[in-house]
Amino acid sequence: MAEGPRLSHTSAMILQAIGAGHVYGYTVMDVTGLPSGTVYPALRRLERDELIRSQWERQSIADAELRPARKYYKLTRPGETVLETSRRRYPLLAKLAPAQEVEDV
Amino acid sequence: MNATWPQTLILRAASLLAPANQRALWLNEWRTELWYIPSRGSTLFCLGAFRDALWLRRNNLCIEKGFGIHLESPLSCLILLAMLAVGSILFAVSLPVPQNVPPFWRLRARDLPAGWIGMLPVFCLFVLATRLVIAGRPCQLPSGALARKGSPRCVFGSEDRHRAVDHTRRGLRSRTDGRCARSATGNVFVVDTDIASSARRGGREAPYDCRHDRPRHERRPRTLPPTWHGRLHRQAHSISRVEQDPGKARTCRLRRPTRGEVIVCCVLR
Repeated sequence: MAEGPRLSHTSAMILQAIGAGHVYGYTVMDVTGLPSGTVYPALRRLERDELIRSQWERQSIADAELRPARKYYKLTRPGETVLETSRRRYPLLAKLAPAQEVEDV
Repeated sequence: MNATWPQTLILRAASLLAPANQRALWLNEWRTELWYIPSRGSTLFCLGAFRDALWLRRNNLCIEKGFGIHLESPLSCLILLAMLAVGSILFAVSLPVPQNVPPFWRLRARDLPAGWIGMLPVFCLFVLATRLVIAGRPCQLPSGALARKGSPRCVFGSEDRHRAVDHTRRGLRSRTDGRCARSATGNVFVVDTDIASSARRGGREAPYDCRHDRPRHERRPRTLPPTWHGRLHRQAHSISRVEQDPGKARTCRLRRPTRGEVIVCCVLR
């Protein structure tokens, strides 16, 4: 059976966190408990592999809330597939990050 | 939180590790994230920037020109090797003749470590020099047609060469107020944009996000490979090496594209 690329546990955790709606770098850190030096390179790697995609928040939203716009991440379709594969490989992954409402960005 | 000087300093220091063509964008990203970090863990958070910058440097496929020799042809490789050989011979000849050294057939195993230790600094210097001379990995060109093109220049101003696409998004206008155009060949994107004043002062880079440079009534270009089209709207690009030719205000240099990268060319207005 053809399966997607095998992710490390760390990458799978990050993917799971994003899939659960923790779309910002810091919230991913917060949920997974991983340090910034692990999370941000992993996010770049996942983006390079086209498992997630990043986008900057709309400037108007950030301006209205008097804060800088931040980058958020979303799963791509291949990313969802790989996440499903990873969940089978790491059964406890689903308990890591409870789903949360994705903010309007 | 508002960044205090230690955090700012750490990020600044880490940004030196990031590739120059992505530094401004990278720094902006980290500063933005820092704003949201509680002050208690902000220093630790910033220390992670070093690893991120190193990752970016290792995975940056583009050669940054301007420093070092770029070995792009067999001839330049041969010249470099010949120069290294001549340098090595001169170095060897200039060394003083050792005294009381037994002939090599009488050397024993215990004599070798001293020789290795002696050669270690030379080896380190050689590795450093090689790193500086080669200055990065070769670019991987995304298409054969572009690789054959070979022209390092892109000439603006001819409407039949490229079609200008005005974008009307308000947010974008306030930041860049530029135009994005596409060449007739479809594999060169030309971005004509106002560069931030900080970049004009002497910086050679400015963050520019092509993802937002999408007109409302965009049509998929026929000649652009689909992978490029997708990546143009997904990945952030930064303009680097703003090089103006004083005599030809509408001419600028193109960076050689890396895999998955759109050529970006900019002109200060």
